[in-house]
Amino acid sequence: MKDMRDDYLWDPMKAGGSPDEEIARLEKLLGRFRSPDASALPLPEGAAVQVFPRRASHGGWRKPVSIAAAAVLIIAAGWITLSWQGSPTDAWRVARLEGSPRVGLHVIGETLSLRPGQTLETDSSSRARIDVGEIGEVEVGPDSRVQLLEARQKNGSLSLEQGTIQAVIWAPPRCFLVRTPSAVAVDLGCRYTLHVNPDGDGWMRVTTGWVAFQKGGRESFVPVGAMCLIHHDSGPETPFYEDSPKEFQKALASFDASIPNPAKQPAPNQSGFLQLVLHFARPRDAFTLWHLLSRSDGDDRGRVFDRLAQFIPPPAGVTREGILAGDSHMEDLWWDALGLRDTEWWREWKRDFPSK
Amino acid sequence: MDSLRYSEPLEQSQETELPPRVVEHADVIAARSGDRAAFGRLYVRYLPMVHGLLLAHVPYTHVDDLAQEVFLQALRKLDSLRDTSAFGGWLATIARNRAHDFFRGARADSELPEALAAKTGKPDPEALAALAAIRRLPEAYRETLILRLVEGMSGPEIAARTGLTPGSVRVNLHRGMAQLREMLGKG
Repeated sequence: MKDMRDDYLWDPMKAGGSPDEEIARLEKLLGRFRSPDASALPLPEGAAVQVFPRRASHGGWRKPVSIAAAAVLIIAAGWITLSWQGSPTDAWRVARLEGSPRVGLHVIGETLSLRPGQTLETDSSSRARIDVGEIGEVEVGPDSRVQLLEARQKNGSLSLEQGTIQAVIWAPPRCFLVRTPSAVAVDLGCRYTLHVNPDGDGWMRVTTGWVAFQKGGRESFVPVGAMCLIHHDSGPETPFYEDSPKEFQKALASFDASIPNPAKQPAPNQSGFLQLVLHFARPRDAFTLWHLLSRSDGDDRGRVFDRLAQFIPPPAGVTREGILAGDSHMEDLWWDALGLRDTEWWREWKRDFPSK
Repeated sequence: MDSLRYSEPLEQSQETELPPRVVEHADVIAARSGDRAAFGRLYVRYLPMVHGLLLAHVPYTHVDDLAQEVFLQALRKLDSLRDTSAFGGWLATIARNRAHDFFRGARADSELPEALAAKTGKPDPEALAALAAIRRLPEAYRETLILRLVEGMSGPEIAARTGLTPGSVRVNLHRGMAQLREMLGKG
């Protein structure tokens, strides 16, 4: 009994069983003293004092405030107000789909506002849906934790700390980002499922459109029908079509696991895994091989070039020497020849989005 | 190409990993360099902590006003914050100092929140009695329990916001709760 009480006192969301009755009663009793919801405060233009709303003074306890000090406060408050006008103060609506999803300690009845900084959490029998402003919706699956980072009507971002989401976004590229412990998923107008394990590893499966996955300088572009694994250490792995041969997928996973990072030496079998990947690749897997150009070096990159060239002959302006030298312009030209979408479109996501 | 893959600027790498603590750290750095939206996000994130710490010390009727002053003071002093990863603890110190200043300047009427409450017609006597009981606890227990019971923060959240270790927060919660139960006659 004592343990259950302790668990509930420490973290009500993690405590099993029913809450400690006395603590729950105190929470309800004392909740009336709680701070106002900062993200819900009214922010009318020019009304600096409403950024941090003041009540009328209740007495003469304050020291007299000099005009100069008051001026400093007003200027500072005005400065904050200006920031709020352009800041992501909108809330996104979250609806219960099943079970008892929570925002903080509040169980969602039918709907609730989810505000930046707040976390939506589901247990093993709960699901919820987040309305992503005017641009889409995200279904949050069981055993998930999602924090809202930014919320506007036409763009925003979430942090998927654990669990599964299904996103449907109908906005232009780069309006919606999902951060995970391993990488950032940048929506390019699509429908996809993203899953993160408690250890930070995970995967993404795209069912419509495209998603870009990135961590640092490592990028993966994932088209419909493809999926991409993510690793908590190295970020997005090499994407592949789900209908590709199992041998191909296994060899690719082994190759990705052997890619060196700054803290490690290359694994001795890296070249061997790569040659297996190339052996089992089909013409349709050319997009995977294209990603391998930037994930291999020296002779290995030459082997990738040769295999990719069998499937998609290098277009004019693309040479073996240039690719081996890491010429990104040539890589772009070759991508365009894959018949997916041209680089002008899919590099769009890297540009500043006008409304940001 | 290999160098491109693994030696992109660190800032980019950090920006894209973004576990919540990194996001917060980035906001502190951005706010210090004049990013107004970042300060707004810090305000949203830290208002419950500041509000709770003040409530542990001053009459509840003054807490909202003082919380506002704490954030304005923090805004002006951000340049002096040397360790940007310690924003929570730094802000908590400002809040505690502001609460102590309150008593230095206004001891005369600081003991009469109930009279004020009667005028505003807000909390009931039982709620005020529970709050008063918590405020008779030692400071560390008092602050932690108010953050937990009033502001609705979990133990891990309290540790993350205040800069206390999770172990300290756990001890404060359990010992404080045990004492509170005794005071309320329900031990």
